[in-house]
Amino acid sequence: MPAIKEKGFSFTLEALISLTVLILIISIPIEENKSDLTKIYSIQKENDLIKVWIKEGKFNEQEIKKDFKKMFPFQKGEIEFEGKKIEVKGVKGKNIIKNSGFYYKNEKLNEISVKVFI
Amino acid sequence: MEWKNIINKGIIETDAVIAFFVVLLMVFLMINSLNFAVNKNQETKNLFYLKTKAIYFADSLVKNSNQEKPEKGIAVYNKEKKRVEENVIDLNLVEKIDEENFPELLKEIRIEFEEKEIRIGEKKGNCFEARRLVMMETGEKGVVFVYACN
Repeated sequence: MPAIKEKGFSFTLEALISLTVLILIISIPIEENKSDLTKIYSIQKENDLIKVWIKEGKFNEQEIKKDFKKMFPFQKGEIEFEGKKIEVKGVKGKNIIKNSGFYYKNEKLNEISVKVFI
Repeated sequence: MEWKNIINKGIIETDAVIAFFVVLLMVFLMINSLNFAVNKNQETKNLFYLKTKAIYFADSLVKNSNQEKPEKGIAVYNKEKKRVEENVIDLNLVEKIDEENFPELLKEIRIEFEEKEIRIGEKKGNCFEARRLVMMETGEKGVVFVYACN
């Protein structure tokens, strides 16, 4: 291999700086579209569960678990009402989305809340 | 420049050739990474658009009552209370849904309740499914599935 000649391809300091800046600008990763509908969709499904359970008025533990699984097949969840706490097994995500509703039973105002771990 | 010199030394110097290829490689890598990022963003956008459509169709379906265009709403309209009963499905409206009137990207609506299943349209290609828990007029619980496909 022939020796590299003294007189070669060289950049000036300014050129090097500008090239470095150019490379840095081009290398900046393009921001992904982070708009996520998961949260709003989960809230809608939680609302559905609460509305249907209140309309039905049964509050049967097995049915509540079954309905929750229909809406959130893989997620872990917690449902609280009338002092009871029902846990539905599943994947425990980092984010918690909680929603609640109110209903009358025996002339008493009760709260029902649904928590999903996404 | 003399012919002898050109023959001995060549036209382009070795270090210039190396630098040229280094720059070429860098440009290639930059264009490649830019192309990858743009494609990835496009895929995310397409999926987001599908998701948006499916989720909004499903929401419209269970919250509205539209006698003329039931594809936009199949909830029960309570004449006494003069309001739409959200999440309560009017099966008469479901029967009226015409696949031909489906909005863009909406390909299938499926309603499952008890042991029954009502299916309108057929999903094809890449789809996103949105599901909503509902009650039938008759009191049974059910699930409405909406599919938006590319």
